[in-house]
Amino acid sequence: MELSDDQIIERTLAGETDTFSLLVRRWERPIYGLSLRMLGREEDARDVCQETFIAAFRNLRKFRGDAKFSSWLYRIALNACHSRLRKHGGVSEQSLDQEDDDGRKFELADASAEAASEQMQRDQRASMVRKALQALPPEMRQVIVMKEYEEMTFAEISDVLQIPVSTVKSRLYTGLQQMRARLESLRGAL
Amino acid sequence: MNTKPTNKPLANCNRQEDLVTFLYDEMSAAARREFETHLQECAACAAELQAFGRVREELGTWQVGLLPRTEVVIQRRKLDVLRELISLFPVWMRGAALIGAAAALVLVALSVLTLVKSNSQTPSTVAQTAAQPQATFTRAEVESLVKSEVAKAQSQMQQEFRAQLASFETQLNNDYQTRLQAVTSRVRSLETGKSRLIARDNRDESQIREWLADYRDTFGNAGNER
Ligand SMILES: [Zn+2]
Repeated sequence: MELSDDQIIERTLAGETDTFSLLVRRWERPIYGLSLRMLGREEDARDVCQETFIAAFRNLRKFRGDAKFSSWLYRIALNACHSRLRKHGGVSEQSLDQEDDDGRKFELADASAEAASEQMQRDQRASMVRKALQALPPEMRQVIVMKEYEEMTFAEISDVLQIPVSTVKSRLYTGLQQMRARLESLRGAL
Repeated sequence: MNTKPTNKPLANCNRQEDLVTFLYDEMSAAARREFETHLQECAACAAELQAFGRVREELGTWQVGLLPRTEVVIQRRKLDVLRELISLFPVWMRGAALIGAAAALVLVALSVLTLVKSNSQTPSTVAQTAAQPQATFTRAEVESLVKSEVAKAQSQMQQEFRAQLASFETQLNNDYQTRLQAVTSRVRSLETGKSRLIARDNRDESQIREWLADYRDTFGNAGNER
């Protein structure tokens, strides 16, 4: 039988600290995905992901059982993302381009020509999305990321951000509007 | 200028929230039917819904690759680990000081009792032999003895802890890939050790109180009188 998040927390707090790795395994992918979409760079996402689990482990005693563990964890991760964005002022387009180049070289290594050109097109679109997302104000970006990539419900997002559902919806609306405009202008610049 | 995004809704029907709820399929069946009717009448909402659908398609092209291996294991930086250990220090030192004091008091109490016993023929004669001059200690003498014993025990405890810390640091240096598991169990064992010592200390303290009471009963007056 699979342990619930709360059961794992209970055991970890009771001294079975190894059990905590179950939570890491269960949540590392969503947390990494969230951080990557928020920050745009794999290296930063990896760091934030680690920071998040370490912070969660250290503060596990402060976690209140009446909240959902995942909401609490997402909140920690978003806080870490925001403080990183404040410190480094976000990622420059140049460094995103650089990372795209690095990634492409790596992926093209053993691909057929056709597959390679297809892959390149996909990469180009993804890179545009990444740039457009990075240009959004973080409050809107986080809502888009949670809704679109983490596939969370409006209620879950409202729980993480501790804002009303209607605010989540209006931020998502404005965010999508801005994404639309930015994607159109990026495509126009090609 | 016209590429600048605007925050104003395109439609003036004010149904932006419904639009995203519909877009992400979180509407009740009845609300969905109602909004579908609205879409037939409101060109602005219909156009925006389509455009948002394309944005979602684009968003979908950014997929996360393989999860980096390093994340399966939580690693802590050495510095963090040491910092955390050192944060245990005040509590630990308090424990150590108490233990030192307790140990010293036991020592003194024991030596006094031994002295009493060696001067008496049987334990029942303790009260009588107590009056003998060589068995009497002044309060000041006891206190200075205790103080020096406490200091000795304390510095010994400090040295022990420092050595422990140093060996831990060496261990960390040798094993750069120290896993959280190892660290937490190490911290835990230190904490268990600490609480065990504090428990022992509490136990010792009550015993010492008894001994001191004994001592006072036996020597209290003589000690004060000199
Ligand atoms: Zn409308």
